[in-house]
Amino acid sequence: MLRRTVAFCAVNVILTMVLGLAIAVLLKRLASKMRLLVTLGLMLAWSMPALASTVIWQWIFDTQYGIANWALGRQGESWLSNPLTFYFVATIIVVWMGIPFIAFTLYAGLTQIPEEMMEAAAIDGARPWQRFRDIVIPSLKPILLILTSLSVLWDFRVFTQVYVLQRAGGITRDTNLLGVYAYRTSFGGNHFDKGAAIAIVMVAITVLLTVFYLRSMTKQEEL
Amino acid sequence: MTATLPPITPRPRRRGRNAWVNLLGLFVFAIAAFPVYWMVLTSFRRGVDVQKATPQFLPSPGTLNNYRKVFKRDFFWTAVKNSLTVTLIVLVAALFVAFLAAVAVSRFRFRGRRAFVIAILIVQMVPAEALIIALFRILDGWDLINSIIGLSLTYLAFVLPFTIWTLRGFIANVPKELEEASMTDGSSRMRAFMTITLPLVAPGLVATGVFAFIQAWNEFIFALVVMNKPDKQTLPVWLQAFNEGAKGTDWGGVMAGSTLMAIPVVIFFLLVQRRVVGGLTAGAVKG
Repeated sequence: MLRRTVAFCAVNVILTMVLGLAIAVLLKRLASKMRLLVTLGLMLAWSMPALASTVIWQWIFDTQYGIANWALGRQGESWLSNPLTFYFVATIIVVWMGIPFIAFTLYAGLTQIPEEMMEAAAIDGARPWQRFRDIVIPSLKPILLILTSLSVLWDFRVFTQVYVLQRAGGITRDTNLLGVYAYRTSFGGNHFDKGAAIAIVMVAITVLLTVFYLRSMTKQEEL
Repeated sequence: MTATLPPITPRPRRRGRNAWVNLLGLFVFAIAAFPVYWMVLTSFRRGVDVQKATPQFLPSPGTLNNYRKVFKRDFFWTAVKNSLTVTLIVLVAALFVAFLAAVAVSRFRFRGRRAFVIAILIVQMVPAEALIIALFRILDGWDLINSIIGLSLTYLAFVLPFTIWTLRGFIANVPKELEEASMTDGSSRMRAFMTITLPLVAPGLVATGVFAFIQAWNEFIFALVVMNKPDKQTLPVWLQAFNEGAKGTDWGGVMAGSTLMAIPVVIFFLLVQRRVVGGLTAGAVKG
C-alpha cells in the first residue's frame, strides 16, 4: 500500500512537473493571442472542482459510450476494473488538474529571467538546449523546488479521484492508496484504531516533506 | 553596456518554427479545455444522442431535459441549500477571524509571532485525509455529525491557515507609514486603520473570501463522512450519489449536475485567481 502510494505520487509529480515546465516554456514562446488562448484553456482545467473533473473523465473513459474507447477503437474496454488502467485514468485526472498551477507559476518565473542573459548566451554560441540547461533551469531552481515539494504533498494525499473511480469500477483492494485505505478501514470496516494508525503514517511522511517545503519557503521570504 | 556590442541581427528562423509552436499551443488548449467542453455539451444532449456509437463533437440542437431532471431529483435543492449555507458561514467566519489574525501578524511584533506564521504554513500541509478519523470522533462526541454547524467548523479550521497567510500578504503590502501619518494627524489607531488600511485591503479581502467560498463549495471528503444522511448532503456528495446511482446510464443527467456545480466555481475562480494563488510560492517569483 505504502509502496503503491509512493509510486503513484512519484509518477504523478514527475509527469506534472515535466509537462508543466514544457507548457511554461511553450507559453513563453507563443505570440500573445495564442498565449491567451492556451492560458484560458488551462484556467478552465484548473478551476474545475475535483469531483466534477473526476466524473467527467469517468464519462470520457466510460466502457460503453466513452469517447476514449471510441477513439482507440476498443469498444467495451473496461478501464476501471484493472488496477493498471485504473491508475492510468487516475493519473490523467490528477495530472490534468495539477498542470495549470505549475505551468503558470513556472511561466511567471521564466518571464523574470533577463532577456539579455539569454541573448548573451546565444551570442556566445550556446545552443537552445544548452541555454535551457545552464540558464533557465538554474534560474528556476528555487521555484522548481517549492513546486515539487508542493506537488509531492498534494499527490501523496489524493483521495477524491481514487474514491470516485473505485465506486465506479468496483475493485478496491488493488487500487487503494493510503488515504482511501485509511478511510475504508475506519468507516467501511469500522476499525477506527487501525485507520488512525494509517493516518499517523501519512501525517509522519507529510511532516518530513513539509520540513523541506518550509526550508525552501523561508529561504525565499522574510516571515 | 550592451550598446557597445555590435547589433545582433535577428535570425530569420521563426516562420516554420512558429507554426509548430502554435500547433503545440492548440494541442495543449484542446487537452486542457476539452473535458469541460464535453461536460457542457453532454449536459444538453438527449439520451439517444449520448449513447450513439459515433460521438458528435460539435454542438447540435439539444434539450434542457437533463437539467429539468436534475432540478426534480430528490434532495437536489436541499443539497444546494446546505452547500450555500455552509459556504456562507465559512466565508464570513473565515474572513473575520483571518483578517484579525493577519493584522496581528503583519502589523505588530510580539513573542511567538514567527512561530505562529510557521505553524500556519505547517498546518496547511497536513493532509485533511489523515484527519477525518479524528475529526469524525470529535464531532461525534459533540453531537455535530449531520449538522451544518459541525461541517462549517471543520471547513473553517481548514480554510483559515490559507486565508490568514494570503491576507497577511495583502496587509503587509500597505505601508504602515500611511496609518502612522493619519495617527499623527490625530486619528485613533482604530480610525486610521478603518479609513486607510481597510479600503486598500478590500480587494484582497474579496479575493480571499471568494477563495474560501470555492474551497468550502468543492470539498468532498469531510462532507462525505460528516454529512451521511441524504437530506444533509452538500452538492459534491449529492452529485457523487447521483453518479453512483446512475452507473453510467444517465451521463446527460450527471453532466448537467456537474455543470451546475462547477459553473459558480469556474466564474469565481477566473475572477480572483490572479490575486490569490501567488501566496503558496510567494517570494519565489518576484514581480
